[in-house]
Amino acid sequence: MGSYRGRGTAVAALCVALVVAAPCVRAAVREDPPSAVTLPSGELSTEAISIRKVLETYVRAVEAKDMQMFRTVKPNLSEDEEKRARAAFKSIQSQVVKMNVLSLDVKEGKATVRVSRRDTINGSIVSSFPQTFSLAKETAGWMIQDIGR
Amino acid sequence: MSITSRRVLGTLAFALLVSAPASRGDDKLAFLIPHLYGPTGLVVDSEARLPNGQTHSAHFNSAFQAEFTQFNVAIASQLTGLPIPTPASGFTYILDPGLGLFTRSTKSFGPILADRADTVGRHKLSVGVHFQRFTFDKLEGVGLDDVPAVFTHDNPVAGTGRDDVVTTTNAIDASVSQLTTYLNFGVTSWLDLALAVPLVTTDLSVRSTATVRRIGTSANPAIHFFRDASGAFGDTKSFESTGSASGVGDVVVRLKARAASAGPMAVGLGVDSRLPSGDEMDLLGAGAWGVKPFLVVSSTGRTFSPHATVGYEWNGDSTLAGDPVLGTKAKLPNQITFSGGVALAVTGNLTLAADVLGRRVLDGRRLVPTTFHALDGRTTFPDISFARRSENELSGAVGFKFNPRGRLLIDANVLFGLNDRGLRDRLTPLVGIEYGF
Repeated sequence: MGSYRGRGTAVAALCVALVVAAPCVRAAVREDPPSAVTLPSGELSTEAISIRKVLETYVRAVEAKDMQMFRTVKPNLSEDEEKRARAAFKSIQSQVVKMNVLSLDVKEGKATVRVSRRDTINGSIVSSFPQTFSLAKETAGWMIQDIGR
Repeated sequence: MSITSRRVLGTLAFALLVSAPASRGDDKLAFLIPHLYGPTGLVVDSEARLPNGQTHSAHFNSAFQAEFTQFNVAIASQLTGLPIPTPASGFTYILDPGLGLFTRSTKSFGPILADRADTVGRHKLSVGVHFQRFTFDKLEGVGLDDVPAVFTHDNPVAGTGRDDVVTTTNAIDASVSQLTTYLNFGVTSWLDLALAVPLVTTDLSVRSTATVRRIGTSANPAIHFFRDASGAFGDTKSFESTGSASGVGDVVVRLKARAASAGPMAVGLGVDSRLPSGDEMDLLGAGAWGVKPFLVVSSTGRTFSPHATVGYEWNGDSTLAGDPVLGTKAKLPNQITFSGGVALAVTGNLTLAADVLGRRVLDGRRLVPTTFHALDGRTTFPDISFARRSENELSGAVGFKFNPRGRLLIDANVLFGLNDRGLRDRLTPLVGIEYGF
């Protein structure tokens, strides 16, 4: 009987720990606010505003899993890339992207944007990771040419 | 984490609270076999008188009653082998750097009873419930429906009447049901903390038919007999004892890290700590602490994902390994555990899993079928004895994981013996669900 009481206490303590831990876990894995592309503070050039719109469209396309919208900002998708993108969209239930622009260099119709990105997949925080976008200004406006780490 | 996941945690906590076992006093399952013939053991009736005029008390002894604690150890050992359904199962994602998109790293949902090196992901939580029911059929290859045991007289001497024996045939019905709830939390992207809480129900029933074999007293049945209903000298008597117990079993806490990875290959290191939270005297737990570090190597292909694990389990002292009647403890045998298998993604929402699961129980007490030779030099009976040795226990497992929607997985598995070492169930079914938050 004595050992039973000891075990009962241990189990009860475990339960209390679980219940107490639940809000903490919730806080740790709660969803982020809606996605946004944040630019460095200061006065923004016309080019910077245009490039931000491109990145916002990219983020919306990723979150909406919209292949057509994705292609409007990255029209040079190869057949294999489009296939991978469709597979990626299909494998994910939900995705929220938060993008913080760290640096923006514009030179002779080319732009390099370094960002810190934080993704929440299926309601769970994945991680923050750096990304580099290479853009080119075409007739229709700025387009993503290449995406790298 | 959503409100739903908090409800899951709350429900689990409630289930743990209400599942505290009710104590049943001295009627513990660990005593069921030692007390099968009563507190004084197997005593046959006798009308013979000792030289001092006292009634002859014909007390018979057997390895079955004296040493059958091995059966308790075998059940306890089975409980120490409680498999934690692989916490890294389900959904894992990798970044496609050229597109900036996340995609499922593998179509496979992973193994069921084995493990893979992948972790669940930073701040991800997965919860699962699995139910297994063992109905044991054999112990060391001896059918539990017919375990022979010969009881010999105190101080047996040929030609004195003390060479009489009592043979018994014993039928043991033993079953263990395990409802295991587990939580797995990704502390970092490479480190998981998991908790497995089994609710165990153990049912044990033993029926023994004893027969007096008058090797040395054939002319005088009054010396050793079982009195029958009419009061005459009978040869046989049946004994039966049944018990059941339910409660929390041994809780397992696991830390697992993805230590290294190269391409599709990954190496994981982990340690399982088993807490003696189950009441060993009711065969709900092992009654001893256990620590098992393990190494797992796995590869995640798009469809074919092999994995292999090896570990070593240190066990502490348990009353089950000692003498439950005297309350003395002895060391529960250590084990080397190993497994290997594949997970095959048949479609995006169906994975088949096949594994070989093994363990080498080191220096454990083993039942050995033997032949008893009576003191008359002619008569033999089937018997059992016990010996210490190390044995490999091998099992196979096949099953599937099905993803009907969202991040819900339905698991089904069948475990079966690949050899007859240890306490065996012909087929052990498993059903369960998993959900990733």
